[in-house]
Amino acid sequence: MIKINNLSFAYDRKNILKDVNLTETEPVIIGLWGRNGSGKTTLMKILSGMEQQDKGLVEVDGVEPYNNSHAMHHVAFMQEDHPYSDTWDVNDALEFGRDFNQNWDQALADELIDIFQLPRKKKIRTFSKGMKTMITIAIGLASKAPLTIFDEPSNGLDAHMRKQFYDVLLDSYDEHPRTILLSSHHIEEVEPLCEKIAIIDNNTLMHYEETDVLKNNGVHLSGSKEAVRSVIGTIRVLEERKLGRQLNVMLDSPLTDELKHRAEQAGVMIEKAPFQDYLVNLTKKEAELNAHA
Amino acid sequence: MHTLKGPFKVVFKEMSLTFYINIGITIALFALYIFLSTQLDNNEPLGLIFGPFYIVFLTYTFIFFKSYKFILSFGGTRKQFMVSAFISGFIYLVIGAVLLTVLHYIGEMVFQNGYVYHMADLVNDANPLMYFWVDFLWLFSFFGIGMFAQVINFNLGTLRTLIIAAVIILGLVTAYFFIDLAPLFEFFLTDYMLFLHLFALVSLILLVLSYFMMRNAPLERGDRKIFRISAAK
Repeated sequence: MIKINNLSFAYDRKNILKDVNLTETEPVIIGLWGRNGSGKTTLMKILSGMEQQDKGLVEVDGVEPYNNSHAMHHVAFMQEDHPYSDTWDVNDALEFGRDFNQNWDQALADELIDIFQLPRKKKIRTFSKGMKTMITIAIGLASKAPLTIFDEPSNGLDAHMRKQFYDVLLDSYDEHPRTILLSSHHIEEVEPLCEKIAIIDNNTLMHYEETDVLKNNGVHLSGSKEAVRSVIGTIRVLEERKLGRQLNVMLDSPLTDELKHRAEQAGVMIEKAPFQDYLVNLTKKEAELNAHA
Repeated sequence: MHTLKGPFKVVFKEMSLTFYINIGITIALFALYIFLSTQLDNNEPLGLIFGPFYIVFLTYTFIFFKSYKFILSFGGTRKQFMVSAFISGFIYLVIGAVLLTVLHYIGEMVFQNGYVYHMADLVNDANPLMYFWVDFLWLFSFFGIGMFAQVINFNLGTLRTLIIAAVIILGLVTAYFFIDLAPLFEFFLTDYMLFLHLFALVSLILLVLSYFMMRNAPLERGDRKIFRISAAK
């Protein structure tokens, strides 16, 4: 489905992506997380054929996407601010969606337009941010492309619409399994949908793992310095904060029964760290290590 | 499903609004000339009706180039955009030339006095096909020049394009003062059709060059690197 070997891309003498490797053969929903400027959007543009890599191999569903007219049937990339002509209304956008996508599901497109209550005859240029996101989501899901990429898909959606988006995405995926890549700055927004998480940082793919494995990591400890240090042992510390005689740390470890037991015995408070905080600290730590290497 | 269908429809639609507005302006102009012809006593020139079409075909690429982004965002390619632009441009060009020819002949029948100038009037014994062909060649030539100018502008950005334009203008002004251009004007008037065909040939070459410049064009305007510099290690 996706095959990326030693992908590199530079712009203005600056490496945007370097030695990225990723192979995924089964339909799966992937969360793509990275900080601003980490190279997420560039990777998505390369996967969709909008940009050409400087080095390496990129294949989507067996085809190389750049300048390949048949790639439109294999990949759909719905951007955060997806461009629409000032002259298009919803019906025009759906018509073009159908023309560009071999697997286009008109019934699903119509259903999504009804669910999102989008006015079909109104020009898209007059839509609010949320409405523009909804039409983009509708086209992306109805494309049923073997690889469907959404960049920040929940931006501009209120809580109700976001829930509806998650529901229709999962229903559509159940009915027609395909690889869906959801990019977000806020992992908590997309993590419940994703079977795997890809983390881009330091211009490369740092981690590509099962969501459950990554999500279990990250533990907060707080207590007196001596007690906290006795619990840490050889576990990697991602973040450390001193507050007088108190010490707060985040560990790169799952919240195991053994760790809980050790913390209780030492009188240290232990809790699971929020996933987003864990990823921020993990990438920060790895960036520091790379800078020193 | 043919992969060119979507890109073609996007470009065709993007060009359509301007085309319909242009038809409206041309017909309004034509109606004005019909009225003015009733006010004339002699067979004097009323004006031109090809003006709006010629101007629009020169600037058309600047109007529909937005569809480059729409096509790429829907999964199309740069080559598809260019081929779609050529096909759509050709269709509108033929319709435009037919319309101008038809209006010219209607004018000859309905103007009470006066006449509307046509670029084929420079040709002796011009027939309807010749009127169509002259309009076609002029529109084609303007379309090619406009396309090349916009492709340069898109690839190199406004600043670099303005520098090139300044150099060209300086060159033309210098040529005007130091080179005797009389033979060129004479050639234009005496071998008008040859001049026009050569002009169209130059335009065709510019269109081919535009295709090659756009097939690996940058995603954003002005991002073309003339010299590729490798990234720092």
